[in-house]
Amino acid sequence: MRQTPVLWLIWPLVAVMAVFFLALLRFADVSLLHQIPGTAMFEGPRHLGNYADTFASPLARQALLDTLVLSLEITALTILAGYPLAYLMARSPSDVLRNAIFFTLIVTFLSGGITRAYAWMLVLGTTGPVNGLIQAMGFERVRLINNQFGVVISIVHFILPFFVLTLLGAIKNIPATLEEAARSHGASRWEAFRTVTLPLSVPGLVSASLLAFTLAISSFLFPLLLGGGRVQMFANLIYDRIQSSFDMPTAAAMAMIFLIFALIPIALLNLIRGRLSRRFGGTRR
Amino acid sequence: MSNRPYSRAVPLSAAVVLLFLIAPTVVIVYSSFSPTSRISFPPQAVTLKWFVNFFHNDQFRGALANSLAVTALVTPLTLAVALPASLAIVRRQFPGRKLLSALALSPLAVPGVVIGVALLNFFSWAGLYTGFWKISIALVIITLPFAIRALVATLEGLDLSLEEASRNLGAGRLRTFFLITLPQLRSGLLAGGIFVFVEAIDNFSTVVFLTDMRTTVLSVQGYGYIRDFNDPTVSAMATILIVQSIVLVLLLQRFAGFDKVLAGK
Amino acid sequence: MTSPTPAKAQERSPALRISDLTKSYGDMMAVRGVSLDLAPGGILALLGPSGCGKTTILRMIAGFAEPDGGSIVLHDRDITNLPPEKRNAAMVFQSYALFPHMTVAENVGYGLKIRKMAKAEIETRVANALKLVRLDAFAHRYPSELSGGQQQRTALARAVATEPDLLLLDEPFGALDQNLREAMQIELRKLQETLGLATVIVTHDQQEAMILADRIAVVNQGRIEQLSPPAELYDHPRTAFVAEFMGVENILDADCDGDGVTLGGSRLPVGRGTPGPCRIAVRAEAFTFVDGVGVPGRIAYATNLGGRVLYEVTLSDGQMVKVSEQRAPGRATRATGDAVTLQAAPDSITVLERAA
Repeated sequence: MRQTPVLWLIWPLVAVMAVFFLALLRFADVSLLHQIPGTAMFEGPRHLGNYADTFASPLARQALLDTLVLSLEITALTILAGYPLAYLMARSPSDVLRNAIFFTLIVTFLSGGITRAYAWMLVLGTTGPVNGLIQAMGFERVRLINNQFGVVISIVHFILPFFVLTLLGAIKNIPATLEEAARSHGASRWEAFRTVTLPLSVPGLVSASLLAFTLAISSFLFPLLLGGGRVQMFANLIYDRIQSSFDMPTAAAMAMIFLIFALIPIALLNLIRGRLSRRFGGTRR
Repeated sequence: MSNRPYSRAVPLSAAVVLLFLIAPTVVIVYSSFSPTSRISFPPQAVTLKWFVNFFHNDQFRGALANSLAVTALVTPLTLAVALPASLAIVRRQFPGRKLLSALALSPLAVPGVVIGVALLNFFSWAGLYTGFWKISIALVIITLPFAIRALVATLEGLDLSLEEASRNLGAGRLRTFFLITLPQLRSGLLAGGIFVFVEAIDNFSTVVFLTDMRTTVLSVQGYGYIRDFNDPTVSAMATILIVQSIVLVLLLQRFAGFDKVLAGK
Repeated sequence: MTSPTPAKAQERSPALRISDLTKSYGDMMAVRGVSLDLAPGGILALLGPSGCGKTTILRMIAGFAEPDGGSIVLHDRDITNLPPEKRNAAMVFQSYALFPHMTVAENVGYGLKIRKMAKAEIETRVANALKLVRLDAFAHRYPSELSGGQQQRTALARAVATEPDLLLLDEPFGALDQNLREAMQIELRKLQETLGLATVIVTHDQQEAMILADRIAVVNQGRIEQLSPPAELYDHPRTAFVAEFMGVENILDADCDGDGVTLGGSRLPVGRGTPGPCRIAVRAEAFTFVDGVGVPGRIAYATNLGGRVLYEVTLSDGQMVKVSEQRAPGRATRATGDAVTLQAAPDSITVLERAA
């Protein structure tokens, strides 16, 4: 009995991936060229000038730094807000509670970026309910959007469902009896969490945080709508470059630099993953 | 409560986070029925005019039609590409198997803006100028990882002996696939399909580079409207999308169970 | 914190006293009014089928489930509402629940470290505990690098290292294969005797309960049906449930008359019970085939078990009786349809309590 040849099964995927990587390769190539003035054509010779220009530009350097710092901040906030929620979902004895959290996460997750960006503009806007509350308590109105605050809040909101759902699986895989064992040997709830559950959740926490960081660093829509032009994240800089001058080679070089920065943490994780699973692996018993 | 494994601080902080998660959804639905974009409570009046406005606006109507057309193509196409590939990745041994599955997931790691600009450049170089096709191809690339993840996770959970039993009872390879394997993949297909569908409707950062004057989609049109106008028409659009996502979630719960979605995520 | 109690006081008051413990989950009564005492240094087994409530009782003793009513007193200290970590009752879990990210030594020293004991003291105690379970050579391995039996011994060492007031064992040998299980059971018994630890063990395996415990509580539907030393439980089960659970093959309807029973129309001069209709429990090996007077019947089926033959015998009233007979060389197996007469050994018939 002959099986269907593997090639029959995978050629559609290979074709799609070929388009994707050809596009990236062509893009990388364009980043080495320069534009013929007044046309949409590029010419050689190939050089690294576009890269040098990008690194020489204070605007781009600042945007890169801001993007990295903001992404770290957002990741940290996501961990703080998301860990208790994931833990509660993994450990709560109440089906109703678990399903309610899950429903909220999934509906939030599925309701989309534009929806949520606009929602935050309404919530945090000068005439929004948050400012209404602040005024009602007798304080001055505060500017909550068109600044970093609004961008950070909205991105944390965007990332939380991804983070919680990824971390949830990891915490669920830690048997609850391990915590009970710790308790029965004298550990308080907090000690049991600190010495058993927390360290055992590190691999899952690392992957979930990495996902959060990757999503944060690629944010584009939220800075665009809630940054009010004051928050330049790198993706927005590339967009502006295309919008204002259609200078494809420079945009390509910027995008390539950006891609490398976005991939660094993933590469780092793959380096330490082996060590992580050796240290925390074998969770089965 | 001595037997609960966590202290009261956990549900308390979780409640704050849940409020944070749900608040924007509540506010935007509320505003879609309110007369102005200025939110007042209690409501002064209830109006459906923003919904009317959404459906009467030519640009929104065109964008909605395009979005629906694109997703109607992209959702089945992505699943059709992902299903045989996932079968090969899970069930077969072949050189480059690990590399292939890593590459199939790689679009997840590339920022949407980078994919968008790269494809913009690629399509103009390749001479493809039709907005519909540019957007569709981009969305297949972007949504493939979601579909493959969901299907690979489901396939890995299948009990091979069921298929062996079917073969043993005399069913051929093809009949076994359609009678035994495919029905068990239903939850994976559904979960994957929903993720693909939602991403295809919602994607902005890539698609914004590929739309043009004639072909725009809901997300890009919504962005343009927010930039240019200050009324809750986009709230109406958002409310429609939220209702749609609630329907999808209930569908998913009904036919697949929430845990399957997790595997697919 | 262990404060060594004077030996005399220990003799008087029980190590563990449970009074009228109840627990329900929704509409389901998991535990209904359980009371029991455990002497210092004693081992008590909670024996019963899955879902009978035995694990819930253990979890309430450990502090992982909250009783709806009743009290738990450990060494004159009411622990009913204390959190698990304040009870000083160390538990060995069915899955062992070893911390996968800690070595064997770190696992065993966990409770001591939590108690903020000095490093040197921890090291000595861990070394002692590991020696006790013969794992001294494995101190620096991780649990995933151990065999099932070694994991089990690690869990045991971890529990005893803290010198708990009470040792709790939840189906501790369930995951081990038969040979290893028996070896571990004997090892546990010796260890427990050496340390003189009051111990409660939950099991569904009557043989395990017999080997380990000095008293066995048979739990059924959230109640203790019988609490007796193993031999008494084996010889004189009080209820049909206990008899069946202890593997008694025959539970029969009969008539009692004070110092004998009438079975299948014929009287046997054994078994004591209040006169009237009754149910009796008789082991298959307690019946013998005789030539003289006894209960008549016919062989319905014979099964060769190697050293013994198990017969199913139909009595004149239609009841089926299982009789096990030693196979002697040269004696032919009785054939289906053969007429036989049964007699029971003295003191071998237990008259069961009537169902409440």
